[in-house]
Amino acid sequence: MNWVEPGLYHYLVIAALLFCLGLLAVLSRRNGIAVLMGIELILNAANINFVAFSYYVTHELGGHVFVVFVILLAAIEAAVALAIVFAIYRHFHSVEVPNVNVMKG
Amino acid sequence: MTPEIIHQIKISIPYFVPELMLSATFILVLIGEVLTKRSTYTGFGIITAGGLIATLFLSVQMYKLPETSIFFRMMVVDQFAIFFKIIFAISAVLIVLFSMGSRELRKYSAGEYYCLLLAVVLGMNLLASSTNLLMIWLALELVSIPSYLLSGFLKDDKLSVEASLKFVIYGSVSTAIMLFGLSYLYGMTGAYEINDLRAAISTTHMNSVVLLMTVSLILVGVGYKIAAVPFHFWLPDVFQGSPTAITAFFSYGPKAAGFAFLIRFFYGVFAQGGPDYHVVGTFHWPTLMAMIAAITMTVGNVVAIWQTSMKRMLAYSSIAHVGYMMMGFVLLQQQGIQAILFYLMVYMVMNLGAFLVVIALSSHMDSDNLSQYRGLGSRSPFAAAILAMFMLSLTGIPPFAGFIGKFYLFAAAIHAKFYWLVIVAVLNSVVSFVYYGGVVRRMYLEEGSREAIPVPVLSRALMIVLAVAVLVMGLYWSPFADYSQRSAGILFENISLAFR
Repeated sequence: MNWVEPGLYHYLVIAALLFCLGLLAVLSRRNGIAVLMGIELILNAANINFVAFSYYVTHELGGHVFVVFVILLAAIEAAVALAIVFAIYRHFHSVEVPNVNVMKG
Repeated sequence: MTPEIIHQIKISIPYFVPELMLSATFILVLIGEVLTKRSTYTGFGIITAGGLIATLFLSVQMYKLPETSIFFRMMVVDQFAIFFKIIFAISAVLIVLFSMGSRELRKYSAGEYYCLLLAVVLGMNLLASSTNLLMIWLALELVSIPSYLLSGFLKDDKLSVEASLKFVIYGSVSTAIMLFGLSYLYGMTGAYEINDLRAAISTTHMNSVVLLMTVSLILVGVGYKIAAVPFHFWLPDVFQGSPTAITAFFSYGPKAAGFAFLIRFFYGVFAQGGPDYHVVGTFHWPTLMAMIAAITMTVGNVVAIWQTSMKRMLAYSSIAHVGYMMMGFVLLQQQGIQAILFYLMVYMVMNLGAFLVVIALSSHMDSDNLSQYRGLGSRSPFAAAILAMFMLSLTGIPPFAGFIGKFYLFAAAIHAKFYWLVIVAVLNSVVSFVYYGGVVRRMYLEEGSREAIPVPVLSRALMIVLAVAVLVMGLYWSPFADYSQRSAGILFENISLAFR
């Protein structure tokens, strides 16, 4: 395999790394905003996969179209999630996820 | 636009009328919200319920039509999808009627509330009929995103806001993980459409480890939507914090949509004409499904015993019922799918019925603690009798509908030769009587406050309707069973045609 020319495998490895980093951020970060950033990383890992597969494997535009929708939905999700984080800040005076724990059991 | 696209849209629109009706109602309520100064839950509720009933009628009319793929095979309109559209519309009408009298919601804007509710119902409708990966994911997000907002609708209530934070984090992580799985599925098959995916998986040789990983990633998204163990952690907190009417909605609507997606996707992609999953050579998929079912029902039932909050108890009970329904899915057989569909009808009536009583009583109780139900038998004999009936039905005691529903599911598991799963499920039903029976015991055998609780007329009428439905489905179930059989049958006909 030619390791210098960028090819499908490079993109897949980057996407997989990005996915792992995103998952790590979601699982380890205490700050609510950082958790949301982790979610964005996971979504973008999927985006890279879609574009790479679409360019190298299927040679059509379907994957690109998928990515446009994903970006749109990521923005919507971020808007909703940030609104909820604001509401959390009003009640708990903190955006640290472990502090938001009135309900247990 | 090319003439071809215009033609495709022209022939697709008549099959899309239920969704168009929902969208029209959504816009009407939104405009109403902007134009009126003080919005009332009754006024907007009547408009929303009207729109949903119209959707219901349009869906029922489409049940007879032959199966059709619409919008360039983005969606399919078949009896399976219509079955779900009908139960979604019925459950949503019930939720709208529950919300009208709700006291906790009154402070907040009614128009926004019903708009979000309609958006979720639209998403559920789309999810039930999507056959394209992109459409499936969009529909899943359309169900999820308004749900986050609905769970945090009581902006001044700490619990509600906490519920929505937990919901948004769990929900978006799971859907993002699922999207990553979908990207691999797309890369391996080069297809989006469910039938193309099945064809690609059955013809080309694939790396079984990657395929197993892909399916597991997708299962995370599905598991979150139906709240199967180990993806159930969000559910108890979200159920406890959300407004009670919304809790009732979450306990049924989005879960049923998740089952529609689970069945259509897994059946559509991995069925190869026989009852087995065609996923990975040596990996025994039915055993995994059976284990998920067994663990889900056990966790739900055992943890429910220790709950002190009514809403939390019903949350764990809904996890347990998802476990029961998963029993129908261990093998891709018609008996199983049919049993799931039948149980979805039964569960709608008895579960929403139990929530209806809780909502009707909540305005006269200090909290949703179970101790508040002490002596309810003398405080409000009517509501107590109805609640006892729903509790017994949820346990699965004849002559109520829950018994017949469970009977079909157990029969499906026996048919699939998963005898240990049936034993686990029977033991679970016995365990579930501890907490369902506990509510009945508190109502009739324990002493509480003596102050009588009046039940509003609308709630009273709805209680009677749902109680009659539970009895009818328990005593004369064959029309409902036939209906679920017809609706499940369409999937199997298509697959067997494809492999003839």
